[in-house]
Amino acid sequence: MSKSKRFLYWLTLLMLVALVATACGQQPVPNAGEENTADTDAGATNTEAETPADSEVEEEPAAETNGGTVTVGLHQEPNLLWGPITGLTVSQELANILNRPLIMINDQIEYVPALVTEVPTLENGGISEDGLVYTFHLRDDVTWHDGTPFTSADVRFTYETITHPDMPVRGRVGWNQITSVETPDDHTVIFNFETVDAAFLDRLAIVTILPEHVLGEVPPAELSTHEWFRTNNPGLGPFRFVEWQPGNYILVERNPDYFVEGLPKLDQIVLKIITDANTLTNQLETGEVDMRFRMLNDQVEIIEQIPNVELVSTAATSPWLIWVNNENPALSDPAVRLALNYGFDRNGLTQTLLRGLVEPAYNLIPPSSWAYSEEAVEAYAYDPDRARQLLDEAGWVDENGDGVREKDGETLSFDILNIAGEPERVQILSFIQDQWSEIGVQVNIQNVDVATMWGDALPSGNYDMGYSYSGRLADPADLAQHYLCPDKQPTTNWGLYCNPELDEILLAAQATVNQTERADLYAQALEMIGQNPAYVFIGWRTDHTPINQRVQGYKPAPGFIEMWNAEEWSVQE
Amino acid sequence: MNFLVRRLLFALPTLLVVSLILFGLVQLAPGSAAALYAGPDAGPEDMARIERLLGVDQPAPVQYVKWLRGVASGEWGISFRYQQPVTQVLSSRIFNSLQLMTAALLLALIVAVPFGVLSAISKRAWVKHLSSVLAMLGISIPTFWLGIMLLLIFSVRLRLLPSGGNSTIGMDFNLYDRFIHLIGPASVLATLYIAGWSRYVRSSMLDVMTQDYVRTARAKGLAERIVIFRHALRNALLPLVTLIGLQGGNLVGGAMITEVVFAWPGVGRLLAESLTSRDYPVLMAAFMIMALLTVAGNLAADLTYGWIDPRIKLE
Repeated sequence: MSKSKRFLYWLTLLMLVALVATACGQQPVPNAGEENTADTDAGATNTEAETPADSEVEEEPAAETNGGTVTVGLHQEPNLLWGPITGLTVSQELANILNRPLIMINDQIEYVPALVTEVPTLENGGISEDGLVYTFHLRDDVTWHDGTPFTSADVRFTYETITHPDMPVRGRVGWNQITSVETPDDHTVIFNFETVDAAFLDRLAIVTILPEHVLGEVPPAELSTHEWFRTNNPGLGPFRFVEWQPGNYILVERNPDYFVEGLPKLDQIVLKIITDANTLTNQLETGEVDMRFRMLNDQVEIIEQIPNVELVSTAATSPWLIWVNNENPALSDPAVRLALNYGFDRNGLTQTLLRGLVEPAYNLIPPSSWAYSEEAVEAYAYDPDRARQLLDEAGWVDENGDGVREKDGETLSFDILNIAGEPERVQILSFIQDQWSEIGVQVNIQNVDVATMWGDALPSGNYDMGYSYSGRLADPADLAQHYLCPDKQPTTNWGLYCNPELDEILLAAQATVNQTERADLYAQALEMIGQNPAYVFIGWRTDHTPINQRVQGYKPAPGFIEMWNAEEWSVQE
Repeated sequence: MNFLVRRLLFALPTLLVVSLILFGLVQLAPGSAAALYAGPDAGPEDMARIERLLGVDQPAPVQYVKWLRGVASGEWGISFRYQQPVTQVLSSRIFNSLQLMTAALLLALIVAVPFGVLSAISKRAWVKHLSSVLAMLGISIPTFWLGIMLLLIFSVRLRLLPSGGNSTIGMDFNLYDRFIHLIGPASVLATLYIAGWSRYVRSSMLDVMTQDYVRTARAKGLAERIVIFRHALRNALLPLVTLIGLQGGNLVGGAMITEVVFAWPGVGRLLAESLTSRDYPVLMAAFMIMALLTVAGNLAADLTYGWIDPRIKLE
């Protein structure tokens, strides 16, 4: 070869090698539309303090200035700004700052009043002894952004809209147990129930109130397409809608007439829509964005190197789990499901692969919940011998020596569906796949897209196993959603699990509002589930929020909405 | 004229067939839009209600006819996800995508033509080798990598360019601001076209340079510069016209990845979203618009070709 050709040849080779090396690093991480269906209802109801892990946001006694703008990076574009018809958490975030629900859930996972004077409880008589009557006393100093006073008529209108047959409200669980809503005067609302809905207050927390004077005359069939659901103007919240550039950003400004004195402190909040995780991180670094929510574990190291950005990490009340189809012939055997739970190392997985960023999970109720009981929970230790023993005793043996156990013509070989897009998920599944192969269980990882998982596989039972996370757990009554036999009330029992004894306990726990009784019953339920698990839980999702130091006042609310106290935020340069 | 009329008449059944195929594909995709919208808490009653309200409870042919009738009267349906008329959802985004694509195509033209010509006529070996290598790089480098690298270097490290978006928020329309935001994504998009087009121009030039009339022009004693630019280049560029015309459809939806990386508020990103949430009305409308633009682009290319080259008779 001539000299110049050879030179070029080597140069090209070098460039190619460099390319391959770097190209393997960054990939666009589409924040999969998984936020859609998994996150609907609001958070848990426990009253114990929840200490956020690794919280680095301190309350500095420095001078808090009024005014200023905070820029939030949204990883998805909101669609409709009303809890009951949107499936997106980002929409609920926006709805909560432009408008308000009757009550909210704070960072300590306690109910706090928003539009009411106090949260109804058994003690103050707001909830009747039998749990069938809820009385709310509304504040009398609240006005909509257009000046109209907020009254009980708005609340009743909201309820009527949720239950209207022509309204594309998503699930109506719990709402259809209400027999009537009374409004004896402008500032009192009474909900009458036919059967106890122990999770009612949780459901209320994501329902922002509709303005009856704006939407009252609109035919319900046309209601969901009304502009109000895209602007929340007028609303009841600390911020007012200014503009929404589709696909680009949303701008909201301070409501000077907000009913709490001195709040909000900020002048404006800009919500930029940036779907790529890398771009979001870049903008955090350049300061074009002050904060973002729901950041994934793989960006943590990068964020930690950015000087004026702090990382606030909180354990969510939402667990990662492997949904197991209990109607699959092999998986219907409780011994198999138990063996699967003992057959892999949760601690090893979370400490090494996930670098300690995630806490192991063993069931659906988070440790921060009042219904959680350490004694009752079966914390499956990594015990492959026990797993093998369980399988042997149940008759699952590897006869043909291929490493996979069989019995009566069925093999312990399954397809596990994974939502494509996040490398970490594949790593987790590969880890588990490897360890399960040592107890004679084979899984094949199949990548599908969000819509196939949530729109086809899970709802129609068209799968063996699926890896995903469960929605943010509301009141533990939602435990019933995942475990009640499918023929009972509408359930999220994707695993088609059915244990009639468990049903009795779960239904009894829902039928009373006495928290001690319920906690007792849930402990029993947890024990039962521990012996006969439906699914394989992996770990509690960790919510990472990188936030610029100039923003003060952010408090993560793991069971609720990230921007729940946006009116208390301020900036300090 | 006959040609034009005939082509327009052909366009209609073409688009109809395209819409049928699209609709079929959309129906075949696993994952029910209603189940996705309704979410995990919905029971059978809720599901039935949502299916009715979204209009997906009807059998597929009925849905198709309904959609067709709507389109004929200008109603493209209501987006499932946004509960807004599809036209509204698309309109502002289409404009943004058009901006981006047009800038990218113009940039590509400006760079590809001289580049291709140079690599064709240059006598030096290193020029030819370098141009081949660069072209190959341009085609092989993935858009998202290029985009992220560009952002990392020019935006994060050097702070020369913004990290995405199409304008600074809160600023009134400012030409310079828009331009600065456009450079990044447009360059990234243009790379692929530059690489492909420059090779095309090069081979077209090489082809033309061996033609008799070029030899004649040289024999006449014309300066090399005039031979190349007045005679050869014009003819060499003709096939490029067709290529550009075929880009018609891409004008609106062709920049999905770039738009995601640069947070550009265009149709590409909307398409990505709508695909994951199975938002059929938006998908159908967006793809039909792309099909329409492709047909129109093709037609425009043919007409332009016929107009530029007097030897070609359009029949």
